[in-house]
Amino acid sequence: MSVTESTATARTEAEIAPDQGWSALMAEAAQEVFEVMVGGKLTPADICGQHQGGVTAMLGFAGVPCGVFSVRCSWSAAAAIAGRMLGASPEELPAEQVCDALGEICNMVAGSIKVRLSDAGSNCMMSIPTVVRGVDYQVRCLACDRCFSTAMELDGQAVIFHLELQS
Amino acid sequence: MASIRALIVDDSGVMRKIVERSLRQAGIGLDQVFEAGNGSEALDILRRQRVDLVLSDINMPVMDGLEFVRQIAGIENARGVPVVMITTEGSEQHVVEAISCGARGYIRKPFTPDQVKEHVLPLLEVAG
Repeated sequence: MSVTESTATARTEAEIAPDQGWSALMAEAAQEVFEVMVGGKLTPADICGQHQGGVTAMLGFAGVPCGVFSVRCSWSAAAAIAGRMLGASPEELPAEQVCDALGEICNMVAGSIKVRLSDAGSNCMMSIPTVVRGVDYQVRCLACDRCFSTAMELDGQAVIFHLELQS
Repeated sequence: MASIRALIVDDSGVMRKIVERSLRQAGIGLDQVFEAGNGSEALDILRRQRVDLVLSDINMPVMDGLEFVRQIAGIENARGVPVVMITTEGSEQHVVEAISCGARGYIRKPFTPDQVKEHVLPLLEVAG
């Protein structure tokens, strides 16, 4: 079956996941990935306000849904995640490996979301992840008009999962 | 089972290390491990080296995993070598596409060493 054919018969985004369902979907997918690949349990966190700096891994969804998914955390949280994945001390890991690990986390969580959406009749494609690191930056998808966030915690450090969607 | 020579193909170096560790944790002895960051690099390795197993991601820059598996058939060194896809793409459509391209197994990320064992071991036993 080609992508064109399946898109023509795909269900609408609202049928696949109503707005209130996106945050729960991200949390479920993230918990699965962290449990299996990071060896740690993510728990819900109560974090408010705009987060700046740190490291962000992001990738695009094309099709239904269409938008940008991202994972954002502090550098020390990203290093701790990479350390757990590789069984290494976070202080010993080069920056490249820390970014690579967060990119893979983003890829796997997005993949896990995609599998859940596919089960519900969605058909979308994912791009390869991009990772940004800095002290003062914001990431924004210009074509998107709705956004959903889920704040989680691993070993006391916040990890934010964010989805911006285009109507 | 004797130790094997494996080729791991993934654009993430972290994931290549995790796949290697999972093979070892699954009790699969590794005599030598070759790594490639995309399908094109992997084809170059297969032209020069004999391997017993290939584990490949699908979504990669330069040459993706599906095109890589299609082109393996043209390499004499690699004929009959089992290829297992390890990818985040878990839809039935992707599995069917990978198998029709020549892959012999399919593991979805995230994965455990037990899942690697379950998919890889039978292929090595048949080949060996």
